[in-house]
Amino acid sequence: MQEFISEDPEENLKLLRYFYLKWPFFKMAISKVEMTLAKVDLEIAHHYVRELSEPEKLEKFEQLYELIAGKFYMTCDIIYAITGHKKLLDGDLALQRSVQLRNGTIVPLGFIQVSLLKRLRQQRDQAAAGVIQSRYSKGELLRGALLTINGIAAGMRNTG
Amino acid sequence: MTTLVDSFEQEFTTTSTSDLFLRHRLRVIENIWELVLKQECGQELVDRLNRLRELSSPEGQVTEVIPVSLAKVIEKLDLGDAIRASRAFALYFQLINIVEQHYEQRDQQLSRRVTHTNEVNGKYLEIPANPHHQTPNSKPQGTGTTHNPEALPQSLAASNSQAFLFANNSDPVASLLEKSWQEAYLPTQDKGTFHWLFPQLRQLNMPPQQIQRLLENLDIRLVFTAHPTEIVRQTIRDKQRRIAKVLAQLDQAEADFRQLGLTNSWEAQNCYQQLMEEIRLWWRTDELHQFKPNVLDEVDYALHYFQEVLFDAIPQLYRRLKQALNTSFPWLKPPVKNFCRFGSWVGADRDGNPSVTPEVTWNTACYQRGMVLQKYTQSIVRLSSLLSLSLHWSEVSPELLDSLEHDRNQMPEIYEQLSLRYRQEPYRMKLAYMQRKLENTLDRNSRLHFDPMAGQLGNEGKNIDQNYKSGEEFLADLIMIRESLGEGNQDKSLCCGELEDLISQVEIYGFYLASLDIRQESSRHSDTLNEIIDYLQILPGAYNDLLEEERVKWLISELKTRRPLIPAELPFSAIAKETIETFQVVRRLQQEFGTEVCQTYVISMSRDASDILEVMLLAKEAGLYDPATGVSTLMIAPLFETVEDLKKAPQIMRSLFEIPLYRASLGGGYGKEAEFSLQEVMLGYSDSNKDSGFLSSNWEIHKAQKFLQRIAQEYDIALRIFHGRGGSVGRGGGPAYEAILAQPGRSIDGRIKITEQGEVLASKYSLPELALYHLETVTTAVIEASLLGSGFDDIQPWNETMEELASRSRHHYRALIYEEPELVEFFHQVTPIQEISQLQISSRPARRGEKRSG
Repeated sequence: MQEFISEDPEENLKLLRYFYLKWPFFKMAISKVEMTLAKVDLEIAHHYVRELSEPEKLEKFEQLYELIAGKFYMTCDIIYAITGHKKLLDGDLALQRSVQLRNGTIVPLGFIQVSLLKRLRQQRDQAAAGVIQSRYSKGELLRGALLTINGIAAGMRNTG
Repeated sequence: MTTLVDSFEQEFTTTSTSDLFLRHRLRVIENIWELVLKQECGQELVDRLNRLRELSSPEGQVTEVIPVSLAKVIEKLDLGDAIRASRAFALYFQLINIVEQHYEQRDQQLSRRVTHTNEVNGKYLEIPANPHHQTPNSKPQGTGTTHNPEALPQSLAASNSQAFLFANNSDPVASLLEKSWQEAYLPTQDKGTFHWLFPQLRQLNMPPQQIQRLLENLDIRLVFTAHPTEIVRQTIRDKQRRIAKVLAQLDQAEADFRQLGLTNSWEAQNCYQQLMEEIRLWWRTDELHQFKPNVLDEVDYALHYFQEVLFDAIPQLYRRLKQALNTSFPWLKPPVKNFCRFGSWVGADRDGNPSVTPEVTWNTACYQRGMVLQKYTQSIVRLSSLLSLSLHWSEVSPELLDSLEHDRNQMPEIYEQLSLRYRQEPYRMKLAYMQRKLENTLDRNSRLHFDPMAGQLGNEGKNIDQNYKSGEEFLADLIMIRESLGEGNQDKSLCCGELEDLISQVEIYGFYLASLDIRQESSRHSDTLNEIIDYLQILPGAYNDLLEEERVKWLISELKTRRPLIPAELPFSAIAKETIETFQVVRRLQQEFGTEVCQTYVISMSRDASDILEVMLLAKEAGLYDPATGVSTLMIAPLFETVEDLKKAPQIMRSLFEIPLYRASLGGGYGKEAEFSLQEVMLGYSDSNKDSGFLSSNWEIHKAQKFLQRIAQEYDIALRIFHGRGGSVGRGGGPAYEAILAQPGRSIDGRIKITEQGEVLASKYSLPELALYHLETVTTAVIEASLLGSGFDDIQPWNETMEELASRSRHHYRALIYEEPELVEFFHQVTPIQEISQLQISSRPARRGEKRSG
């Protein structure tokens, strides 16, 4: 879409904005994208990448992250341009409020998840290497990690 | 202490008063959450959690840099604390979800109340300037101890956070609340409701005949599915619902004491106490399943929403539609009562889930029937206490008297037992017979549950009239009662709401509750036929090696012959046997429960016309298609999933419609092609999204619908599109109203079928008012989209632009997904996907068969 807009920034953007106003199909598509973007938190995503990538893959994965992050910002800009919103979900204040209310608590929960996943995977790798380190049982760690998944799912509400 | 609520309060300077109510409630629940944690785990945990939340920005958005200190604190947590913190946050989310839902429901109720009042009075009501119409002498009753904090339960009074609970008047939010009760509900939020729709149609001068025609065709089906991310235990759902109930009581209590000019009441305190208790019990409950659920557990989860919410709420939907229609178009006839019906995939969809066997499907149907029969029995008992009409004061129809005579012969023991008592109360006598018949039906159902053949042995022949064989029989009795009630009064106006509701329920749920749709993957059918043909040696080579045209030709000739194809012994592989037996169980289900119980067979991964004809042939073998008359009792719905298949879909359907025997089977068989014919086609959002990206997938589905509709119209066939939407956007989710309106013009025409995925059931169907609102919204959108259609879908240059955008976006998407070799490993490592597969959340294996991962 970026390509399309940049081919004739003024005319093509005008056309898409017109689609957005008049064409229910297009409006629905854009709104769904906007809703999804609003639930994204790139900082925390970056944290997952930094912490959970295997050391030898880290560099490559950082690049992938940058690629995805770049696309995210680009998509946001297109959405702003088409909808005229200044912030995501400006058209749906109730949803915006609902999403924001949760974001603050999701962050620490995400951090806990990363930390538990890291410990869980470390332990798995050590066990595979024959090292027995039994500070916590695998079951407990797994249970903890699953609880964070459960919690984040509740926090994202109906995202599936 | 800064709470989250405070910080987000600062965020929004322009808030509506109704928002304040929500915020007030959120604060109440947040404080109770803290109290519970303090009692259960000590102040230390509470402090730690608050520190964690303060460390991260309240907005949590990308612009904020996450402080290193937060990561440090978390690294240092020991496992026990990390688990406690995760549970506490998860609990927090679930609590605010409940509050939000409750608030939405309450909003709906208040908004309905205003709309109704306005309609009744013909204008908007004056809002009283001062809602405190407290008389000086009014003494609060039974509230002697209310505003005395010392009378608090010890546990509450001991907390230092109690102030929030009881100092409503010093709370600036609370003082504004009063306004919000009235102000916020001017009917601006009505969009998507019947009361908005019909006046709108009038205003637009929509021809009434057109509306009438649409109402006659109105056919909305919502199909519940199990989904692996529906991970919340039913135990927890029950707790959530109880908390919602207490919140409603709290609303009432607060409204009451404010009316009396008080700052508190014992009822309100009681509510706080109950909330504390519920949440403490919850805290000590396992939130995850400790075992892997089997299919029947999943059936149980899905039925839960019927049991608790939908069953009782549904008659309201019809009433609302009728009432709104009546206000704007009093001369139009309302649609049939069952214009909105339900289906279920749980226990019937076998695609990729080997644990859904024919036996499981049979058990599911019996289980569902058991549930409705119990509900009906309860209603009959309630009706019996209402319909105490005596022969002294009312007349009874001759039909009712005849039927009492008939019942007496069939069930003399009931006559013996009750005839004296109900000598003058014929309705109660009739209801007693009906109750016994329902109970007998329930008994029979329990026997059949374990032995599908129990009913076929002919040993029930002589007391067959002591059972209801179908929902229609039961319905006929109810309608007879209704007619009789009108007897003898001049305008036939006596009616009974409870009876009307029961009639609605029987029309919607019959004796089956929700239709079971079978779903199976296309290759299973061709493999099965391949085995059969290989065994019978009737073709020179293997069936699977035939070209598409050869397959179609052979299938048509086989469909025409009346000779059976499959040997009774089924000397085949277990998989082929089960495929054949599935058709047999569908036949048996239709015989026992009526065709409604199971009449759709969805073929996933449909790619060619032969995929559909194969299913038709297997259906014929089970007696579901009669080659002599051309009548089919099974509707075969191809599911087109990938972008490539979506593009082919119109062509495939056209080639099928060209086959005379197929065309005839869509109507009532040979010679009836001109009558009403219906074809269902399912479109899948999930796979097309995965293979081509969001925009391209949505566009292809949009186009496919347009073309399918055009072709169906050419052949004079009504089309019902079945939308396989998931919960998340990537799987087709999103708000239903907008989604329906966004469908291409004319493609709906009053008919729609939509999946309601397991993961969103809770957010839509947990509370009755929300469930009704959702159903009303869907119905409104269907009517609106069918009648108004936007007309923008046919603008050629727009379509061309969209085509180009879609193809470019597909290209970019595929470049990222398929040409980036490390991407799969990337997701594997940096997301909890490995761990999710260990959640015991579904009877289905975590990944579907290899064929799907292409």
